[in-house]
Amino acid sequence: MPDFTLAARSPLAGAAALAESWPGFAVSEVTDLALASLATRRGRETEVRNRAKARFDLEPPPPGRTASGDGMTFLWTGHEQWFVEAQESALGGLEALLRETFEDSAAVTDQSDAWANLRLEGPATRAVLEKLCPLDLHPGAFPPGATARTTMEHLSAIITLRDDRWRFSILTPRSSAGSFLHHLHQAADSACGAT
Amino acid sequence: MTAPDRIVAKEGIAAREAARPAGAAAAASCRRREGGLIDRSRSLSFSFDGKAFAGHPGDTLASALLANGVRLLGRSFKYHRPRGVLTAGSEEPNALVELRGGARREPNTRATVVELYDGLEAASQNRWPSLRFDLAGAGDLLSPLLTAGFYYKTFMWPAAFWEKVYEPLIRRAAGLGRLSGAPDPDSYEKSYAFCDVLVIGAGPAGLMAALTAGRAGARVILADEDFRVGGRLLAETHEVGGRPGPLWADDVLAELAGLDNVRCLPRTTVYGVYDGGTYGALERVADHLPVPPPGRPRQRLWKIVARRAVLAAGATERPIAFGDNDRPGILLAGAQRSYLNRFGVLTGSRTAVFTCSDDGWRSAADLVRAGAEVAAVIDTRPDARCPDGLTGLEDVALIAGGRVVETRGRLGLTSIDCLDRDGRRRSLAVDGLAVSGGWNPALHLTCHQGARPVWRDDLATFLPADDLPPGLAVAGAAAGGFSTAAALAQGAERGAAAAEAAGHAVRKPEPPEAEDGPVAVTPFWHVKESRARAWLDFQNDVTVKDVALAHREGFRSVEHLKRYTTLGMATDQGKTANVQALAIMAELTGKSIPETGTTVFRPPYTPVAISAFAGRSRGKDFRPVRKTPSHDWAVEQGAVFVETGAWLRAQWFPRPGETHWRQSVDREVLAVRNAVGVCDVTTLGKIDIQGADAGAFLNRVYANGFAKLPLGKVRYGLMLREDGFVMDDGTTARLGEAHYVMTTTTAKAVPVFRHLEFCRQVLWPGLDLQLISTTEQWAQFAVAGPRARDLLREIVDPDHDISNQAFPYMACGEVTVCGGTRARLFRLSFSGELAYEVAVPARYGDAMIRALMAAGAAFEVTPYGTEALGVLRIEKGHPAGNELNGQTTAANLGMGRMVSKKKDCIGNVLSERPGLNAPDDLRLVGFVPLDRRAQLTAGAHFIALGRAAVAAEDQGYMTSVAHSPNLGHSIGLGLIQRGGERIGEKVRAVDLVRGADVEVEIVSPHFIDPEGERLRA
Amino acid sequence: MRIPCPLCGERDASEFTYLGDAGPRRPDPTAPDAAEAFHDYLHLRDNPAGWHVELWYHEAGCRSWLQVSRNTLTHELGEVRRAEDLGLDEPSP
Repeated sequence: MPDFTLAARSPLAGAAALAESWPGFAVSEVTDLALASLATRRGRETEVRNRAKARFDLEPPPPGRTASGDGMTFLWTGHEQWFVEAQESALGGLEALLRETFEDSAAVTDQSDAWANLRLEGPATRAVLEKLCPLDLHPGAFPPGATARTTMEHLSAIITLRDDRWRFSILTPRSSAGSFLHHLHQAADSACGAT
Repeated sequence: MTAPDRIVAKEGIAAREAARPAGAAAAASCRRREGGLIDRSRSLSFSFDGKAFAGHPGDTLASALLANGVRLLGRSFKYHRPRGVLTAGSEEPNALVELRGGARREPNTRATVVELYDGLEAASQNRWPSLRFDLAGAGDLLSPLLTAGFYYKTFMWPAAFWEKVYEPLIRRAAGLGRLSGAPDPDSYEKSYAFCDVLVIGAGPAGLMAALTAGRAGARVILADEDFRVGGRLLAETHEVGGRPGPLWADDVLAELAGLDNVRCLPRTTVYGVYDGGTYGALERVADHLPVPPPGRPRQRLWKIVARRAVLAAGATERPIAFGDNDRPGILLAGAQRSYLNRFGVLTGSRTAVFTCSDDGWRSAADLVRAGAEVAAVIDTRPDARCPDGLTGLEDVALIAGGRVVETRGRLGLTSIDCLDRDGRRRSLAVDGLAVSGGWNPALHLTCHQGARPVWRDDLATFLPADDLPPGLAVAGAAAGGFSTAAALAQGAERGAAAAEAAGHAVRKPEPPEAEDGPVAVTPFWHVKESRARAWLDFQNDVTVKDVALAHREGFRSVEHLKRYTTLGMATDQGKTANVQALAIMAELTGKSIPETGTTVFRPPYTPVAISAFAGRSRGKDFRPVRKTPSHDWAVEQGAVFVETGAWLRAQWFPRPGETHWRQSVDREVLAVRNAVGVCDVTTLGKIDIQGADAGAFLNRVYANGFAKLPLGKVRYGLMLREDGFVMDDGTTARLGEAHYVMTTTTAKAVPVFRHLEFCRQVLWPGLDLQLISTTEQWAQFAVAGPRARDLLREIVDPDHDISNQAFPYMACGEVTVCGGTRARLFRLSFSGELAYEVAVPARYGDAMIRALMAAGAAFEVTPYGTEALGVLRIEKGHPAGNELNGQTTAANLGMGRMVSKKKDCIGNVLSERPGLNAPDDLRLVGFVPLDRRAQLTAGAHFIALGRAAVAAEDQGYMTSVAHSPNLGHSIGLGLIQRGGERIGEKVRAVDLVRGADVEVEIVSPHFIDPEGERLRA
Repeated sequence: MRIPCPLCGERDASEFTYLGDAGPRRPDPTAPDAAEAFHDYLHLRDNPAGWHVELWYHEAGCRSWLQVSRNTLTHELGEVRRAEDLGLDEPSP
């Protein structure tokens, strides 16, 4: 039988815009994180929290927040729903690990391939994002560890502040990630000057 | 100082005037050697109507033209009257020019706010052949015929002339600038901002408000339409805290610039107030440059969300209406001072002042101080005298109780006639006239949520109402605080209150000292003795007589007056006209101004280009593009793409030698029927449904039964709306005890998800189920055709048995492919052939299509696009978007029996409505042309043979057509009354739009394999 | 307009999808007058000038269906609650 082994391809593989950088701003694609959604089954709220605590030593975060522990980061995405991130290598299947952890107390769905994961960083990041993001990203309103789902240029986006300065990440749907990156590129040119 | 005799009307005026030569000096307006806020050390060249001029940084186009002695800037909209500059701000009705050239040409820009740059090109508008000799100016002689309501009265009959004769005629004669007609080469963008306090206007009130809130630590945005902060301080000679006004403004700006929590936006007009503390603002990022720098937009549209806002937009001066008050050289007094004090420009070599308030006197005082000649102050107040605090006016003639009745000068003012208190007429040789009729607060933004301004008799003006937009306060002249001291104090107070409301502790500031003169105005609207036309709305050429005519003809309400006369329309929205017209209407009706009413204002405050609203959403960036996992591969194959929603899908894959799309599509269809084809179906919506009650939920949202779907099986599902019509269809697979995956049509993926969440959260919150979209997670390919299984055996790892026995029609399961990659396999068929859909995590989608093609080479695999997909499903009689059009029921589609009567589901009850179950209702059937060479058209209506093709004879319509390469002729699906009972009957398919009329036979909709043997093979 | 989502905080109205009056409850499909009741449920709506309780869906955010009190004259917003929580508080039909 011939070998048809499938090679993986990230959502923005080969995108020219990823090779550029601007004074005070850079964007890169994160390709080594697995992602799965976790949604509490009806009436199992306490159990989900206990299992998360026991296995990952973290409390599933409240609305608008992230929480990290034991190689896992939980991003709040909806009522009793989180996106869980983990290093691809730590994986053996994040979906399987979460299923095993939460059993039937929560619904787990692989989202690793559904989103492009962009890292935005640099002191000009907020100046770039104010052209795209309809949320207040001032540190007072969007502190470190904050996360929010919104739309940017008609596209769904989950934005998270990853450190205490200006390192953000944005998850945006895979199929339209090229359009998103194009808009990000234009915003960066406008905020930081075209190269 | 109250001595009325400090200034005396000189008996000698007549003698002095008699001694002057007729006509004005050579250059009526000119630049002074010194003074003003311009940088004389640098020169900027520019052109107007092709002629070269020079100005300085700090100039506007208007000030630079006036500095060069150019007073005639354009022709008026209706009568082509010669017009110059009336104001020095954004309220300008007259001085509209075309700016820039080529694709960047922009019509109707106000020369009074165009910041001068080196190389600026401008041209006058609405004149032919030239500005000085405008032939259409002859229309002015016909003006008695062109009064208000002229269009309504004149261009009525015959109706056939409306479009062909009247409209082109009017459009040619009346008009403003020309668009370039070329795509705008510049970019526009949007930005979002949030603040505690938005301060609108950077005059004394706005600067003080921003400073107070900024010092308290509030997040402040200070926006001003001008390119330099200071507002009215730039135009006057006032001091603030002992510093010249402009320098004080610069000091404040410097302090604000040093505060991290304050953002200053010059060249930014806040044009609208919206709900919830949202403000629209337009920043002219690069309008003051010939071309925007690389990457930068020309303009930026801000959406500002502010907890509090302080409107400190100042005030707009009112003209007074008198005979021929529109000649170049006649300016508002405040504007004349602005040109003098800010730009160092004299707007006349000899100027008279016509005023009904103390404020107009400032013009005389400033002119005298600048060494310019002031012919007279004509003050409408019989007891007029020089206001306190103004000096140097001892030698200026005063005509108390006076009126300017007429003016002269063909292309610019040369003299005026006035009446004195006793009705004596005298002539003054002046080429400049500064007119002040009092000030109107710039309260426009206060009206954007519906509030109506309130008349204040003591100030003779409208003030903002009490029911302001939530969170908005008004300070300074915009609130009736006309003196500099009042503006500073109100700004400080409102700024402090706004910062406090946003949670910041504020130390009460001590406003700096400044002039605090009282408002002394006796309103005076128009000169009754004038016989020539007295202009109210310069931009729309509306006169006092037009208002009188409107009154006589019964158009007396303010809104009627506006529509009848066009007063207050167009780019300036009547900023220098509305209040006077209202006052004149009040006079005519014998009512007070408050009884007569006021017009309210809507956004935008000043014009905003459509490009700014569009922002980046232009051309190919109009909306995002969604690409399928096999997109790059399809590009390599030379596929032709089609937009389906935001998705780009391969429509067909042309091969060398194929010259017509039908050749490609026919080949792809036959390949699926005879061998095997592969199609990317990732775009179908996929929804992951998990939970103990997932099955019960599906049974409620689908019309057909889902309670007993076994594990490892897929079922077709028909979804109804609650009103009984079909919403969508698709399949749902059961992957686990409490785990299902639903597919939707590509178009309905989003609305179906929204509907399911509605059912889950609102209708049945007690059910245990969780929903999440997995459309993007899985790359999914249809593999269809008699050799589909052979191909998949090369792909699916051998430990998974996909034989017909182990994996029959409508089976599904999790498998691995290509040596261990996890995948999902569904035995589904849209084509009617033996078919599967195989899904892999999207990262493997590109590799998967290549693997399928490589593995399929031995089986003559052919990629097929959406066109072939459509032909295959029409041949099989499957309804799709054309049939699920929101107007069809399950019964219409021949699926009435699928709607379970044994359970509650969405749409079940109302699908039983008698109206949806009439015996002669539409049914989906197939159609073939009797003449097999004829082509059917979708949208054709069915008419019985021998009947007229009229609506009353309509029996239904064709929904989908295709050329069937298997049958060798055109086939169609359509909805026709009692269709199922009429197989074999012949009718006409009439398409009046495309001129087609084809006799067709009604047949079964299943053109291929009606028994479904192939898909179970 | 800005809607205070009880989970996400205040967001621009463009993030939400509007459905309409939150008052009507889906009738009992087994009742003898079900057809009439469903007709009322679907098609008969109050159109008050003033306060109105409506259903909005925070589609671009947390995907919660919300019961939003809104003054139709001023666009002032009152109490906003998750419809699911409210539904769970009610006795099921």
